[in-house]
Amino acid sequence: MTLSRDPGNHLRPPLFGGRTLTRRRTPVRGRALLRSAAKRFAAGATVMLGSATLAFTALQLVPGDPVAVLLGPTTSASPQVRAQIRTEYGFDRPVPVRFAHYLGDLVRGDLGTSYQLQQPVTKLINDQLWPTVQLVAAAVALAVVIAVVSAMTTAGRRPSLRAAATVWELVALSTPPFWLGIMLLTVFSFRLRIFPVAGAQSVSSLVLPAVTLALSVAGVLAQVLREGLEAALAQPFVVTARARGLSRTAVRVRHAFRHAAAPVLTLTGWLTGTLLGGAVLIETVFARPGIGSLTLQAVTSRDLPVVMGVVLLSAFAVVLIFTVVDLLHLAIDPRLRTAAAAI
Amino acid sequence: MTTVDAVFPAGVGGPSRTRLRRIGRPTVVVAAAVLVLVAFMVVAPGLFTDASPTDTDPVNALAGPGASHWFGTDQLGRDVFTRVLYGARSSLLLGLGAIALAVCGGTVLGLACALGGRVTDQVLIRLTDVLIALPPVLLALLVIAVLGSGTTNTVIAIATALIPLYGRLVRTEAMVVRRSGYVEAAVGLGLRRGVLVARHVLPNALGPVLVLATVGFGTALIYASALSFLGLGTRPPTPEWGLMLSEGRDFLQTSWWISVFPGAAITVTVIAVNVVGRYAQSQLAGRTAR
Amino acid sequence: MSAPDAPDTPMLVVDGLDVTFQVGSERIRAVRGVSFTLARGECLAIVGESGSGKSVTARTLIGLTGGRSTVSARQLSFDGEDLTALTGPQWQAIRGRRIGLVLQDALVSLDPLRTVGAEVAEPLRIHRIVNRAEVGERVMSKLADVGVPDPQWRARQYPHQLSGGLRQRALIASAIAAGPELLLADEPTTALDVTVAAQVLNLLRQLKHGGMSLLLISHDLAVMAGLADRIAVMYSGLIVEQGPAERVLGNPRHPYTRALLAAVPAMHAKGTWLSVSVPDQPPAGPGGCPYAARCRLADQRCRDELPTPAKIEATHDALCWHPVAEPAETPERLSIAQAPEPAAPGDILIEVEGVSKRFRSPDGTWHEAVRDVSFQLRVGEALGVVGESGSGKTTVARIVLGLLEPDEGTVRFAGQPWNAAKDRKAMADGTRAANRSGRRIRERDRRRHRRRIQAIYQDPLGSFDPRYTVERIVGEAVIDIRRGRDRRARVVELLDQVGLPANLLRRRPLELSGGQRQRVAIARALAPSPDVIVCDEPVSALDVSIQAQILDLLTVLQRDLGVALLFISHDLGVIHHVSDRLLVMKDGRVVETGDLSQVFSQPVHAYTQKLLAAIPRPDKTDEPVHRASVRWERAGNLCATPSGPQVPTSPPGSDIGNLITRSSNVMRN
Repeated sequence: MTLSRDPGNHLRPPLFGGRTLTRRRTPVRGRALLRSAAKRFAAGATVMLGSATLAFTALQLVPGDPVAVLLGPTTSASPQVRAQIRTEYGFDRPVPVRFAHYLGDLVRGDLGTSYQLQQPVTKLINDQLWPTVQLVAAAVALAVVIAVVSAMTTAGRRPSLRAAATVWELVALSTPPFWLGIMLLTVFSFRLRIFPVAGAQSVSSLVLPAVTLALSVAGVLAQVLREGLEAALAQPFVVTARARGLSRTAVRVRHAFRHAAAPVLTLTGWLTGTLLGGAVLIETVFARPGIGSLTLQAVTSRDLPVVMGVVLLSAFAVVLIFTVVDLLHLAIDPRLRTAAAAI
Repeated sequence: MTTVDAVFPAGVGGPSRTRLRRIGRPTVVVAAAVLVLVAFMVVAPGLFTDASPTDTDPVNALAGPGASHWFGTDQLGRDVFTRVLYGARSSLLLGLGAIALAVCGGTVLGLACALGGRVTDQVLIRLTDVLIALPPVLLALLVIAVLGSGTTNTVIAIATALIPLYGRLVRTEAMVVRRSGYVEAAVGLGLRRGVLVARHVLPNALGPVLVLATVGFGTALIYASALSFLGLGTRPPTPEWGLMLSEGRDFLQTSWWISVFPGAAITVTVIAVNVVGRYAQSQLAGRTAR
Repeated sequence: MSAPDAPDTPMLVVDGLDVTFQVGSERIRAVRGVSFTLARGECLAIVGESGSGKSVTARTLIGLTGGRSTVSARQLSFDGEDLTALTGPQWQAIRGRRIGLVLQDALVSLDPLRTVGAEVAEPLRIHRIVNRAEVGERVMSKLADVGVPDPQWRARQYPHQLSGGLRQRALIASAIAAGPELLLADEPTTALDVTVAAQVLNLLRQLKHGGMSLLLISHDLAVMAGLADRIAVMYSGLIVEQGPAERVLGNPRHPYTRALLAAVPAMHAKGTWLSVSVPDQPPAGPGGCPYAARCRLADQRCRDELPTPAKIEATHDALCWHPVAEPAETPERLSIAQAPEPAAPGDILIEVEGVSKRFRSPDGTWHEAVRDVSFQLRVGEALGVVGESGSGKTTVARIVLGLLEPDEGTVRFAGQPWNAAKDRKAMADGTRAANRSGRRIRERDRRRHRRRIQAIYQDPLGSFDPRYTVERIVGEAVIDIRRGRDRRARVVELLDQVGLPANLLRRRPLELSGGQRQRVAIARALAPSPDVIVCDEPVSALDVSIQAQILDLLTVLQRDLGVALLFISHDLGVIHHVSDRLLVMKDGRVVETGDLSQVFSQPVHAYTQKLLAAIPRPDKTDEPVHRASVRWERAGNLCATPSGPQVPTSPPGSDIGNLITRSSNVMRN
């Protein structure tokens, strides 16, 4: 290793081959970042395209005649009307053509029309988006704060403290959120009357749903963060840092936390995505308007265009979240900056 | 999709490979006892009560917990305690069926990736990544939207939501084993590929997956009761924990017990499953120390 | 800082130090009654095998033994200050400022997420050595002090971007940044290649000359020989022998010290035992000498009673009831019966011809692991392959084993094609016929002959199926007997051959010790009666005395069974003990090859000369070669760092050959 090769050498473009230029790493790093950005974009596009294909396939898979679904079970429409609907919705064209049209519509932001409500899905989602975004954002923020505080205060401490942490994490991640929501409603809304029972009008109406949604996520995050911290605190560099005269707390904050944060970051990103699913339950419990209620309504009435719209929306959200997560990863771990170019 | 590679919902979301904490033995014993009790409830709920879960008694409707009705009665006067006992069967069978299907499907998917050659692997893993990127609950709801509601469809829906996670897990495990020193040593002995896979790759790759599936069972249980809670799984009047919880929602202001006890049953069972599952994980980690 | 600076106060006084760890319900005494003194500017080396308590002793001196330990001592003072009475903040004021610590592997001992500069700056900031504006400047000067070239640039890099040697220097720079008087170095050179280790030792020597007191911890007596003024040998928590370096090395009185010295392969002529064979001893009592079970001289008194220190000289003690000087002709020195003749050259067994292999590095560049390597291995011959990390020796082993396909070249086994590059031209033609007649060798054809070529790895644990018992592990390799009693009998026979008792049959790999595992691996390799065994660093993870046993075992087996060995190691001493012929590898090329004695006595290539010079020997002291090494690294490192473009001192396109010539010039001067 020490005496040897320069693997970077033969791949270095002649432009940077000079003595002094190469010492500055910036050009190469810039290229690496550009390349990894391209890879990331491709990965995101794959997820989007995959979700779109999934959505389209699901639409095709619905058993029975889509027109029948569209008309509902009670209608008795004449064959002429049915044929007209068929042409209007394009059900009579071959599958690849329809898929191409579907993709084209998606790119223009057209997610189709709801079978039940006869409105554009984009509009329906748009109307319901804001309360859900508020809910999810509040829940994620709350969960991260709880997790960081819990992990930082208990990791590598007295056995009793760690046992207490283990117990709360276990209970938090084992409690079904919809039940927790009901319990909180019973206590704080019906008995103590601190928070409203339903709705999304005020900030106080956000508290209980956000807490409910946050708790299980906080449990998982706290657990992973604490274990990450403990793993980091067992590393030799912690001994080195302590041997320089750094205090226990300072080692935690300055060294160990960054190491533990990387896996937690990924997990937070993924869990944020899952909260979109969790919102379905929480919005039902608290009778909140939002994407969740919209989805449940659509699933119950098998209004597939709406369900597909929500699926695509969440895929898009996940892609966005992971782009941010990846950038944060690069900021945290310098080792990835070199590797990023390779992926 | 490199980013999703690392994504596994630790704990609740599904399988994880995080470092494990040693859980005290007494806790494990208690948790195991809870599970045995629940197992009896599944097999023979009649052992614990003489009442019927579906007999209505309008006179005693919405009676609070007391000597005659330990957990009170619901809006139709049915005994909540009895219904919790009988509800174990549908709840647990839903969860069990879903996790079994998910692990089987995941194993097939994962092994196809790990042993099927590069092209197969790349195609399947991209597909899996797309599915992992979507929230599991949403995926399950999508399946239900396509297939319609009901118990069988609930099982299929939950399994579909979990298969990608287990597929990726099995793939990772199988890859690790395939590149391990002992498989290399076995190649060096001239073992045939089939023998090698059957003797070394499969058992070592599936061991951890099966252990993680215990924790996954808890997750599946929560998902199953969630779908029933949303009115998409079990149909009334069958007693099922998630469904009972949902039925009690309208009476929360006056009769909290209708919802609280079934929910507590879910929570306690899931905690017990998690404790036992993690204990099994730590045992396995101690035995293989990879 | 208020402590007296009188020259007569010793830097460190340790008297009756005891450290106990609470593990579950068990209490483990890691250190028992250790006493020593360290004078100002002196260097004491504590030597011992893993688990001997040497690292714990060092950690005690900086107050970092961890939460589950209990430390007690009659006296534990640093520069006259009582360390046992210190509170947390007082410890923090001492750590880094007055006592520095250097650990083994700088890749993990420096925070991998922070720049080297930040790590070196940390002690300056903590102890407010200089004001904020001057920190950067001080970091540069510290890095320059430890011989890091171009510190401005290096300080902005991360540990993984530096070579092993530079990293270790940076770690030392961070330990001494705040100007401590005492430096504790725990295995400071263990993770490094020999040549680099020599340079780091030289740096430590310079620090000592600069007036710093040093406490070195190592498992390797030989490494410490040139540097330490005094040596303390630890075994099982006790200091069993202590004295001036030349006395302990030249006139060892404790049987354990003698065994350690005997186990250093570089010290002895080929064909002598490295390990001491001990007749079965009754177990020692709880109060007895812990070494009694392994000691040739042990008697009943040793087993019953812990020895009191025997004064050999004023400053030389041995904790032994029989501190006799080594007899002129000890049984330990007996040669292995029928010292191996230089093997009569048999037929060619393995022929490697023009093999090359390249890999993709994590940063996307290609790295040529092996370039145009050719050699032959004859029947019954032991061929050693030596090289530092990254020299491509393991890749060669994997190609020979047929586990990796070369990019170019062929391997023939017993005259038949065994492993070869895909015939690109034939493939390009695309015809199936070309493919079939092409030189590509399929696993299916190789499988029948696999049993004839077996392997032993550095990590035996990883090469065992964790679910298997010893019986199944070895039994799987017994391919001629399918199952049943005969098979078990064969397994027992094989275990016996490698010196393991039959009662291990039911054990699983995790329940075996490191030495036992490697013996099981050897038994498995022997099971199918192979023609050749490829050994890839089989002893590098083992303690010296276990290493000695395994090397002896391999030597005997090779002689008795006539099996050929391809023995790969980074350690010339180990290679010397085992092999007949030698292949020196560097950067994927074979730079020198020849008979063992010839290469050792008249190395031709400058790199071989350097390797030979860097072998640590207990009987070696300061040598001028170290001066050359320093410059060597400065030159070498500039084109060494694995990532990112840097400035090679030689124009692009020139290879390492230039550097070799250049540095050998330096050496000659």
